[in-house]
Amino acid sequence: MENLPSPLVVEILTRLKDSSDLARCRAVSTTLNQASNEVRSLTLHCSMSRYLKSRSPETKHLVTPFKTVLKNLVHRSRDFESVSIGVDRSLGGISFDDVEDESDDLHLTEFNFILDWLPCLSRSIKSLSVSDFWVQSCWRRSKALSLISSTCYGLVQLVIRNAWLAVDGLCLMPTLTNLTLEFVRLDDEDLNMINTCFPNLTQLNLIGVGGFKEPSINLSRLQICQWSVSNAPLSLTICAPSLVDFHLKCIKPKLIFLDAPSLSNFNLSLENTDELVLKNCGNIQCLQLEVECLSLGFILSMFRRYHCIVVERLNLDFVRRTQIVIGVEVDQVEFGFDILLNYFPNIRYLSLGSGAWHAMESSFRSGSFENATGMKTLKELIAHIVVLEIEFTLAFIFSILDKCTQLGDISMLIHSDVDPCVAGNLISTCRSKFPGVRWRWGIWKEGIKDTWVSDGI
Amino acid sequence: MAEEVSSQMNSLSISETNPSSSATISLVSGDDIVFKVEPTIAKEMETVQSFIDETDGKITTIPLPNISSHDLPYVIEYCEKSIAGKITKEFEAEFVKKLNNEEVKELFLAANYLNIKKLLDFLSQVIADRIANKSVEYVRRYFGIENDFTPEEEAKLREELAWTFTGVDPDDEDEN
Repeated sequence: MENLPSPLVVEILTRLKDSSDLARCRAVSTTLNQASNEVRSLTLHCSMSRYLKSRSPETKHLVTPFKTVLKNLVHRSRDFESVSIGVDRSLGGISFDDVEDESDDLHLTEFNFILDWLPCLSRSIKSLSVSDFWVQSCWRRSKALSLISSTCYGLVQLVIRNAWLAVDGLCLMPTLTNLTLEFVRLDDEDLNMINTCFPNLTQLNLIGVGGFKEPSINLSRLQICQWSVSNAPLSLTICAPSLVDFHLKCIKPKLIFLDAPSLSNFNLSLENTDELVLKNCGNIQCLQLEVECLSLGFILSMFRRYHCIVVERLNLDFVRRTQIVIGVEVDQVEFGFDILLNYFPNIRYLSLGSGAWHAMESSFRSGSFENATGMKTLKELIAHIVVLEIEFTLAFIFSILDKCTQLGDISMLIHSDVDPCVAGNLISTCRSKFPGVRWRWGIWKEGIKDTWVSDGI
Repeated sequence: MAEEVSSQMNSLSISETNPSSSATISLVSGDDIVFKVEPTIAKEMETVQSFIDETDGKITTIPLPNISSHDLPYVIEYCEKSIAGKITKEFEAEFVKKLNNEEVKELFLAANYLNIKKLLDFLSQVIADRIANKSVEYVRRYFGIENDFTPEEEAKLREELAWTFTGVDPDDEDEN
């Protein structure tokens, strides 16, 4: 390995996930020391052990301050393309009330700290990620965003977590295409500055971003968007003609206005809303809905009203799942399988969460169901079920199979608390009654990944 | 391991009797063992493919003096999976589990020689993961390289890099 060509050494060193590993490798040999200069990415994260050492009176003086380490690394190499700095996720568990930390040694969105090193990289940097220390950043408003926008000429990707960001002085960044803000307090209540200064965003992730009143995403090139928001905003508006993939998670906004003619994959989680406007949203093919049971009818009727009829794949579940305890009947709103399939005449794939399945099984018990248009197209069904009374569950499954003539793939995930004898009985009865169907079986439990027991035959 | 290689070679030579594979390519390892492979696999190996292209496909026996018959089957296995579109995280984890540090390094050089981008990327990451959080001495042993700094240079570097030396994994002598 002594004659390992230098480009190959660089390949390896580039893939070290932490710049302290890279820095240590410099002491290995002159070859590695030189090769380390070729690495264009910098990743430095403050671990819990480093944090604790820097706080303990015995070890405090031995720890080089995090900000000093970073500045030294940047000043040594100067042309990094990618910089990722932050505190480890485990430090996110520390709250301000526990420590009352007045220091700023880990306040990474601090203006003067960024001013110390970012200008060295203004021409080279393409990707920047900063995960701040909430204890130190939550009570300090930072102008980092305007500094970044005026300093980096070719930045493509920007990620900021756990910070309080001002937007005054924000400059136009035509190169920026990917923006992620996570657990950020953003002083841009209608998102106007973001829309104006970052007009070429193709991917936007706003996760737990606070500070909104009536936010409106207005981005003509946006293709992928993930937005999860608290119950604070009154209305949410999204106008994005190129948007293809959209995950929206909100609680109870009064109004959601969505204008997205290219949207094909829509993942919507909300408890309820007074008004849902789906203008030009007729291209949604995959729909994942997580709603409150009571509002399902209203929300589905909006999908019909706005002609979202090409949906081929539907995942349906209820938020705030009603606990279904075996042997105890829980009052739940009934919602018929036939009614559901009437909304989606082109459906091929349907996945039902336990709440949705339960509501439909209950509805079936209080009467049979009618033919629905979607029944002729449905090919694949996945259900998370709790077997309360096996004869009703079986009767429900058999009625579905009688009506849905194309249905050839059924995957049943049975709750782990269901008696294995009951589950076994259900499986063997289904198999013998409908041997032509490809059956798959598995086990589900809240908070645990589904486990498949048998694959289809 | 010898048995494994010979059984793999058997399975490869059986495919030779298949009439549809009349245009197989012979890869000859550094220790003169012939491996017959489908031409599609050669496409994964840029070095081999350009050799074939340069000779208009007339020559189908390709000597690979830098690659041993011990390593070549692994490379072929990876390329076959790659062509079938079956490179998964699980496959890669299994693939690398059976390789010791020395073999990983040899395959890394083989991937570089044959110019197989995917395998090279994958093995770079494997090596990076294996030297992450290790001491300077461990990395020297891993790569088999001598410390070529002067004592003064090393002392200076170690002082500058003092912040990186705390919290590394203790060296484990029988890793190799």
